[in-house]
Amino acid sequence: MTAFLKRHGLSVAFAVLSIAFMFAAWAVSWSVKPNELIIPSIGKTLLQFFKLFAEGAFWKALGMTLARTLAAVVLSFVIAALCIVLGLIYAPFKNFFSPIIAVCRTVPTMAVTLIIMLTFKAFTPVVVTMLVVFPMFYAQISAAVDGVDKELLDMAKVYGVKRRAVFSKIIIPQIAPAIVMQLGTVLSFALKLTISAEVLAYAGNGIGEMMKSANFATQIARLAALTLVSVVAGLLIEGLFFVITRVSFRWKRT
Amino acid sequence: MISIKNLTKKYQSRAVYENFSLDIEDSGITCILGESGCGKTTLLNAVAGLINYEGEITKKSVSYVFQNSRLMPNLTVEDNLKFIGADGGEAKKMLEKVGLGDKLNSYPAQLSGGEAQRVSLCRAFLKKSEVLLMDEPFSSLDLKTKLSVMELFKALQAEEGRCTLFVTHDVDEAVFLADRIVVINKGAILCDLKNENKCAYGGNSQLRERIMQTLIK
Repeated sequence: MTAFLKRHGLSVAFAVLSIAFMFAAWAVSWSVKPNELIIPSIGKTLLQFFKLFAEGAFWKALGMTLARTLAAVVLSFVIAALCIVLGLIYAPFKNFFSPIIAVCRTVPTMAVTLIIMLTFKAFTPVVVTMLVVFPMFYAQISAAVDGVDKELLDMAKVYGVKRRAVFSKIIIPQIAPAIVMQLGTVLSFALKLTISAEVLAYAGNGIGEMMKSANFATQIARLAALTLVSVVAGLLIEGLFFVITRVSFRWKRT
Repeated sequence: MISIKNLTKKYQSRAVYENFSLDIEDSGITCILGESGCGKTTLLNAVAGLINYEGEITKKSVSYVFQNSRLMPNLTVEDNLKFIGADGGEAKKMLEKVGLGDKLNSYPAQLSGGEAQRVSLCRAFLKKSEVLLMDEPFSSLDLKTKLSVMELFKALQAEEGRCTLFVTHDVDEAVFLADRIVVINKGAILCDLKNENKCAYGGNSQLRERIMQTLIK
């Protein structure tokens, strides 16, 4: 612990300072307009935040939101990876996918949510998140594949290394760090999107649905507490993937 | 013997080689000497089958020591050697021979330039190939490291006598290592010389003077 603080003390201090700054900005805003219906106080919000943990419905809603997020991310990743593989096998496929990716990237999320909510109902958040996350994965995997060291591939060719070993020992290890490093950010972003889509699409059973109910009942502190839940969940996901990356790709740091 | 017949290689419209021919003996070190950009690496890549070309080159199994070590950063030194098919025992023995017995579990980023190039040499010698190709493997090393790695290479080569095609732009390196020196420029052979009296690295010899004069002309 002491060694950790010696090495990263300044970074930790600045991170703590940043969190303190955000809470200070919140406290100042509240003191300027001390109205619980406009800006809830930190104390009441934290109280609501901890009260949520005692509610069975909260855990069910959190589970549902996380499941939707995970489903959207996994499906987007698999589809993006398949598209990349098809493009590698037969280059013209890249031209086929390009306009689709461009449309997914530029289409307004809100509009799509409103259009598809009647058809997809509870699955709307999954579809909306996929529409945003899929082009992100496609771009990331493409860049990672393009970045595979051609010199190492030549070396493997000269030494007659089997294709399977080239794939598992050169290609996968070279693209995996870039993808895993980004996965935490993508997941946390996807969580934010899923909650937004839940709010907008009346998806039922989710953090978004709980937020909407709190909003209708003008329970602003509860609404802020639920927002805090999504922030904490997002940060935990990013932190988890940061640790996974550090542990799994030790060779990147040596 | 490696026989290169009528090799023609163009990069876009620029011809690096046009009907270039050369025969290389089955043993000893043949050095291709020439200035940077004259097509030395292209020649090795053609022999290794890494590029397309017109003409004929005898197909042989090759090992290749590249300019940079080309070790896989995600694998330990031992696994880098196993990657090309060497077994653990052989890899360990070879690393001990080159003084890197304690680096078995190190990652390439933990090695110095000289150590990485020694591992690269081990990899090349561990593969039971007919021909060893070397593309300026000592050019990025400091003088002291260069001398020790070159001595090591000489010892390994002398043990096996494997046919070696070595390219460099360093006349001293060529005179120190090679049994035969082929000086090339603009895709043509300027002179083809036997090096019967190898001198110390950087030392003076008639052959060195002759090559220097050919290059200056």
